[in-house]
Amino acid sequence: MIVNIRKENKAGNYIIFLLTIIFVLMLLKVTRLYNDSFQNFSTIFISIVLEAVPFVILGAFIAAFINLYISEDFIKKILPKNRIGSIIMASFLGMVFPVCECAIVPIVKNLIRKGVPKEAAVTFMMAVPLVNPIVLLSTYYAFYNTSSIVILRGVTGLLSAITIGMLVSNGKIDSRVLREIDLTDNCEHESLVVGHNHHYHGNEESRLEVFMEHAGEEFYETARFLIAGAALSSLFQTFVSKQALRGLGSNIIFSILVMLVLAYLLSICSTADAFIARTFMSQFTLGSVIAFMIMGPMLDIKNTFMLMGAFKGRFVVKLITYILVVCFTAGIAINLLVALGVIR
Amino acid sequence: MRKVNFGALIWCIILATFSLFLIFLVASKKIYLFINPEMVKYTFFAAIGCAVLSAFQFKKIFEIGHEEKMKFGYLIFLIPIALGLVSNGFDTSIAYKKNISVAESRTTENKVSEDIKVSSKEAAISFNDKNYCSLLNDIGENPDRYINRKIKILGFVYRDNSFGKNKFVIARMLMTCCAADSQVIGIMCEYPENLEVKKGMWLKVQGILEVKDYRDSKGVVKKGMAIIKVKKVTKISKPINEYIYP
Repeated sequence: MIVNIRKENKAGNYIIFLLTIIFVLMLLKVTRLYNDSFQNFSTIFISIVLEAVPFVILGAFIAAFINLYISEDFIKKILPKNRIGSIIMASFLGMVFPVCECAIVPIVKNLIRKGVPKEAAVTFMMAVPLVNPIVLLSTYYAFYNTSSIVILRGVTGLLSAITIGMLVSNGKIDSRVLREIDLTDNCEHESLVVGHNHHYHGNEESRLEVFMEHAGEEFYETARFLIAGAALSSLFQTFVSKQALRGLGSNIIFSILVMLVLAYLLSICSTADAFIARTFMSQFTLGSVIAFMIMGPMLDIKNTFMLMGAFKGRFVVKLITYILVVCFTAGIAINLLVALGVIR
Repeated sequence: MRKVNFGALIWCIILATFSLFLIFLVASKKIYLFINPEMVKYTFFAAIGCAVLSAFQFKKIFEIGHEEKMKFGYLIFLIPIALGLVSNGFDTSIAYKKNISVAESRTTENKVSEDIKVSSKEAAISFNDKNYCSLLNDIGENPDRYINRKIKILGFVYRDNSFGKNKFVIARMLMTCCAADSQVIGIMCEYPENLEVKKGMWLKVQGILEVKDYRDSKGVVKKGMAIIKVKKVTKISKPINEYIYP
């Protein structure tokens, strides 16, 4: 039995290599300035990794479960037949699925493998980290128990996820979006597992062992991109002062651009980003702060890498474009509504 | 010598090492440098998860007949482990890269300190790790309750070029989820000239709270800012846990 060697995601590995070099260089520097920065960099980096790893593992287990125990027929039965119905259902499922962005990519990858149409899967991927109850609750606390901000974030988030899903559905219905690596092996367990790629299952392997193997794979795939993304985000947080950006806060357009960039580079967990967003409230437009809180859970450095590992490059580029456009539009819309006096 | 499946071996070792690393961080309490204590239970879950995955991976080491190539990506997991073992947490210089929230009065009235008389027998308001955040918020929302009261507070000295003469902010790092999202919160202090106050010093400050106009280094005036008029400072060593939580 010949097994194809798995093709690695080369770009991701080069970036990781580069970061390793930077890390080694910083280690060798002896001046006090570099020492402090290195300390700060590694603290931020480790904290992002430590916080995210439990959820990546959770996502890996859920993804393996879906792969092994949820059948395509089951999916076909519960999803509405038409596109819009499935998109709306996916967005509302986000409200009951309390999982963060680190866990969602492997889960969605396996849902697509099981036949969930890409527009519903993407809507789900956008909505889950955004409108889940934990995130909404922490937003409530962060903004001094003001329900208006929570409602604004929740509604705008839901609408954005649905819009992005609609945009994604405008392709050929059966166009494939996942980066499935070559499978040329004859696996005896093909009926059990869909889309797995390189390995060899002995006859003695129980379902549990197959489950664990898949969970381990999904964990590896997702976590290595998490680590790379965390390193980049930490570099940014260590060397760029946030206070430099405050000057653009009141401009209706630039404030949104600044906040979108910040949300992307900071890569904060969606359960904590409300606390950071609040500190910008005094000097930034409401639309930009809401855009920050919507964009972060959907797209940032961390999950860009994860997306690149799971989906085809061209699809990722399209998705990123849709997210940016939708979030920017949401921000502008809110700023307009504020200017017109419709919102406080 | 029997051949082993090298790729599987490395992944098994890495998973086990990662699990041990997480357990070490929790046992040594070093984990508090990085994440909120509420999140530590999730770290336990991660440690168990990695250990379980490692255990199941163990069997695959001896599956010969096909060679699993060693993946370069496995080594990436060693980077956070290595950094985590040597790290000692933040240096206070990070405060200048983060957002800082300084307590200010949110009322528009500018109640002047002289208007309010407070008996010197009134107990001092003491800041501790538990009430730091809420007290600071309250001073901002209801400064009248605190005008001319004695304040005891500790933190590190934060000062940048925009501050007015003889002013610093006594600050703490507020952590919500993890070190990456932590912010700096504090309150403005005005200190007498003969006191030597340097950036990054950890101090215990005692003073009287005033609410008055604050003029920064460029001459811009902010009305109704809560400022502690410092009477006494004591140098202290950096607390074992430098963070406060909301």
